[in-house]
Amino acid sequence: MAIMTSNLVLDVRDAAAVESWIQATVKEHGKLDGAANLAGVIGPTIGITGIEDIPLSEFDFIIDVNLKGVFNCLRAEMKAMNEKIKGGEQKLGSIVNAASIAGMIGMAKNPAYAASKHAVIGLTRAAAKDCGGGGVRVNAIAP
Amino acid sequence: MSTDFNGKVIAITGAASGIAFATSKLLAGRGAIVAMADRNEKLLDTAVSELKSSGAIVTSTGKFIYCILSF
Repeated sequence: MAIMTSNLVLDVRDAAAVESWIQATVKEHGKLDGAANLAGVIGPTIGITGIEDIPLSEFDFIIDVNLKGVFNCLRAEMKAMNEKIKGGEQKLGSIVNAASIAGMIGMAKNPAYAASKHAVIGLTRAAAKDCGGGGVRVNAIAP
Repeated sequence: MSTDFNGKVIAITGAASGIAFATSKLLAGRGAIVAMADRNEKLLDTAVSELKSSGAIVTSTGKFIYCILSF
C-alpha cells in the first residue's frame, strides 16, 4: 500500500507521503519505537491579527500543518507501532506531539495557532485513549 | 526513566531546526536511529551535514534520511 515518494522533503499535510515515510522507516529498521511530531508553523500574522482580521488562507494553513499534520503522523505511527506490537516484534511505543502554552490558554491576536494547539492536546488525549493499555503511549509537550 | 536509546528507531518531523533538530541530535548521540523529516530540503541538508561532521553515520533509503550517530 505504501508508495515511495520521490521527494527528499516531507510535508506533513500530505497523508500519503507521511504514511510512505513511516512505512519505509519500519521496513528498513524493523520497528518504530518512538516518534516526535514537532513540525509546525506560527503563521505570518501571529501577534498582529485577531479573529476579525486574520486571512482565511492563513487560518487554514496553520490548522492544516499543526493539527492535520499531527493527525497524519499519529495515524501512520500508531498503525505501524500497533502492528509491530501485535506481531510481537516490539513491546512498547512512545509518541510525543508538539502542543504549546498557546494550547492551554487564550491569547489575543493568536486565533489560529492557539486553536491548532488546543486541538493537538485534544487529539493527543484521544490517541492515548485509543492506544489504551496496548503498549503505545501518546503525550504532548507544551513549550 | 532510561536514557539509553541504543538501537531505538525514532521518527521526527520538523527535524531540520529548533526543538526537533536538538532532539534528533540528542537521541542519535544516545544511540538511536533517527529518521529525520522536514519540509525544507536546504535546511535538512544543512542539519544532516552538521550531524555528519559530529560523527553521525547517515544513511538514506530511497529518498529518506536516517541518521545513526556514534558520538
